Amino acid sequence: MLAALWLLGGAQAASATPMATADDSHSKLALYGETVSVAPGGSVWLGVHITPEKGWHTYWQNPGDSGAAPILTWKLPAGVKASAPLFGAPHAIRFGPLMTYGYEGPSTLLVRLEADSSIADTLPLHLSAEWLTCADICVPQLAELDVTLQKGAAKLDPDNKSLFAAARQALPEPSFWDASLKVGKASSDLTVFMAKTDIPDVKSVRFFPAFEGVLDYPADQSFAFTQEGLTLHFPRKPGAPAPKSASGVLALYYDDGTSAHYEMTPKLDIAADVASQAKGAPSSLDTLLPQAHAGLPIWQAALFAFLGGLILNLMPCVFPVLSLKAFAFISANNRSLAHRRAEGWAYTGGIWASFMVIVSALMALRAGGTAIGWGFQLQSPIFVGLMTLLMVLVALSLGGLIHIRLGVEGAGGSFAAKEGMQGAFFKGVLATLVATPCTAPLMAPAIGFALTQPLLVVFTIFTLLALGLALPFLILSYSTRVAAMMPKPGAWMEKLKEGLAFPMLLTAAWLLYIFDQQTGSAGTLMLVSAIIVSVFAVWLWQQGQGRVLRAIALVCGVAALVAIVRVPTPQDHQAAKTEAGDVAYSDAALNQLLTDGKPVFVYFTADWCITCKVNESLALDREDTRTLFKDKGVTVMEGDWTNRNAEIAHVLARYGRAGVPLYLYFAPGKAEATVLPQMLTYGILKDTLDGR
Amino acid sequence: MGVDPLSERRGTVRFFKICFLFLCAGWSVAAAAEPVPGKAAPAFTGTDSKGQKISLSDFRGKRVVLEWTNKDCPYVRKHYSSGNMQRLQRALTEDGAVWLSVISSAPGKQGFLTPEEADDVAAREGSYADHIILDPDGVIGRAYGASTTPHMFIIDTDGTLRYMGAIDDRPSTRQASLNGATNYVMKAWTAVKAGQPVNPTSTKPYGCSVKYGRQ
Repeated sequence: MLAALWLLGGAQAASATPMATADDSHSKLALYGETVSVAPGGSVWLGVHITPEKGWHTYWQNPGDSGAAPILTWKLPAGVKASAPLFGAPHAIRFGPLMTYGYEGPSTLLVRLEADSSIADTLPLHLSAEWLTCADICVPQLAELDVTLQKGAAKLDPDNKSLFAAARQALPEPSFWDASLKVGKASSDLTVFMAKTDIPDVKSVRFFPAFEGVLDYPADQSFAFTQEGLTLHFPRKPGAPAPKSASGVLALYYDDGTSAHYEMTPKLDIAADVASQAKGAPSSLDTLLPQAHAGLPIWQAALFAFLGGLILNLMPCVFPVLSLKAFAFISANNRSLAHRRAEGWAYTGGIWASFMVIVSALMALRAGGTAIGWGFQLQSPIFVGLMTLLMVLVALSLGGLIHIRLGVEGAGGSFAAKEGMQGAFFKGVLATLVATPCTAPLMAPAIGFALTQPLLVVFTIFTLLALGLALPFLILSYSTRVAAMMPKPGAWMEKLKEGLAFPMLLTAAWLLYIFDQQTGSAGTLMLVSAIIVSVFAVWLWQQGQGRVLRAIALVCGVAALVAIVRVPTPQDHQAAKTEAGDVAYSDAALNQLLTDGKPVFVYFTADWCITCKVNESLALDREDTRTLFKDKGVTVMEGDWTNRNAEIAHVLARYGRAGVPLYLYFAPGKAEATVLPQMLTYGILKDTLDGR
Repeated sequence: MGVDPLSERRGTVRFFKICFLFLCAGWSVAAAAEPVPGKAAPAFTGTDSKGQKISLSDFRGKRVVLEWTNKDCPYVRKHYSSGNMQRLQRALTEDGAVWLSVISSAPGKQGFLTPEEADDVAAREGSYADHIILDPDGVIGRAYGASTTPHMFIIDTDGTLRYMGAIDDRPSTRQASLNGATNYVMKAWTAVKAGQPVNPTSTKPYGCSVKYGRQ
């Protein structure tokens, strides 16, 4: 068949009369005119006929994995324009692991010249052609051709009739079927709306895309007939650029050895993740996240955020602060409703503003390329240190040991009465701040999701989170009935307030634990000392009005703060702390294990992540789980995200997370991980390892 | 109330967790072994022309440029004869890049070089490459899906692939085509250095096929 084509091409070239020819090392090029003259306002078809040596090939408009399409550069007289060349239907030419599209014999590129009415009598044309011929190796071919067309009535050149007829025959036919192409990250699907009866004897089909990014050229194309029509499925390289167009040629190969080619421009539907990746993004996190969840309606995400905010009110570190606010309300029952409402909103505003500050910081850091997620605050020992200090001060203030005029202790009637909008606002700020250690672990995954969304969604979600947190007080400030249900103010408030100091101290203890994990015992000693000095400073301050006294107190306080800020030197936490038998996570180590065909279980955790710790104690650090891992020969890897770690952030992002926990199981010989649920149990682990 | 507040709270927390799990449904994505811009570049270990073992992970903290090359490929020739490739190598290595030229030609195929030959060619061409990695069995080439010479990759300090594809937008062997060409590698490098989004992150590479051997 190819030989016949070869002969046919040779025969045509022999009988037809070229306007000009050029020979290069491995091929020859001839330029033919369908007519030798062109009428003003008319057009003429030119044929650029390329004949490679036997065993060599040239390329289609999309050359596939390698190679290059011919480049035709025209120098044309005034009033003449050249179209882009039309290519004949390509062949699939395999070369080792690569696939190229081209012609193993002669091919003709058809170019249409259009003349306007202003053309001169003689029209000199210059063609500068560059085309690539390849066998095992590639050799570029060059030609410079000068030809002349005459102005006049177009008259067909009879010698060239068969050549142009053959060239048109070789062009793909316009498709009379509609089609659509869905481009996903790792595969594309072409649907051609035709019935099986349209092409009864078809043996196989192949789609030749005209643009990069539709499919992986060497991969097998599978096809099937469905309700909708002919569907083709192509594997795709996930790193390929997003295609500019879905246009291409559909080749149908029939039982009797014949084939037909149809040119089509299917409706292009590019998955959001492909499009966004093609655009590029400042932070890798944004590009990595699978967009499967992008379809989640905003209202739904917002609802979750709102519920989450409500739940936060019950957290041990938030509840005491909120109670104080409640006391302030109870004591201020005599105030006007309007005033209470305004205060409720000021409080809401404080919460909202603090959330926005935290989110903005996070977004800014991420835009700067820092690979972080929610909970990032707790990855900074300085922040943890300062939070510990704050918790202790709030606890002492609640316990009545010291008095800080931040409005925290404003449960007493006289003070609350004085407390204005500003006080309410800052109480909102304080509530958010003390809530952070609790939001981080509990809300990390959900907030992590939110952060992967566009700005507007992030804004909406955090606004609703803030509203959720503020809701109890908004209700309290609006509804006289609810306010009336609150117990009468009295001495019990003082007792309860003192009692609430203890959950705050517990929170401080927990923060101290994180700090210790981050900086080591020397750092912890410094922090504890600094906290004691700070408390001393506050106490000293309150002992009198003396200038010297206050100066000493101030110096002590500042020194303590400086000590906290200066102390932290994060240890190489990942290396420092790894459970016996668990391998510290690294991409390289994981790849090595996977290459060796070993099953691997990876868990990502952080000391400040309560969910992680609960899962680890309930499901992982159990005798039977460890036995299970041992029996199955599973290597357990631990990715510790207590401190910032870009490698781990990347893995989390790859699986669509901005925070821990994340549990992955790689079955033996599989590069694809099974993602285990966030609530891990022994049963889930066993089922997963058993391949169920 | 009648309801134990603690169990109620647990219930609410569980409800929230379940809601979240619902969010997570379908969040399973394959670990990409293939090069994808924005994701971790495939790890590799190879041997350079000096016989030294070279791993991508050796260069953590630095930006790495990978260049697939074949000294006899006309497209590669365009960039070396014109000095275009050397200029790019010099500019980027002086700007902190680690430049790795990779030869994935199999023995007996075009562009295959022994370590000594590879050093000779590099010296003659005035290459600024830090290492020339010899990959005759095509393992690194296949891991990166390198299909043409030249085929370029930029890997960021944290191992993230930032750019893959053609060196520029002129798929031609003519030196004249370099005039006014957009050098995608330079463009991507500048963006990466500035912390800006890279655009484009992936382009169609052009050139000769990589002369892989049989697998």
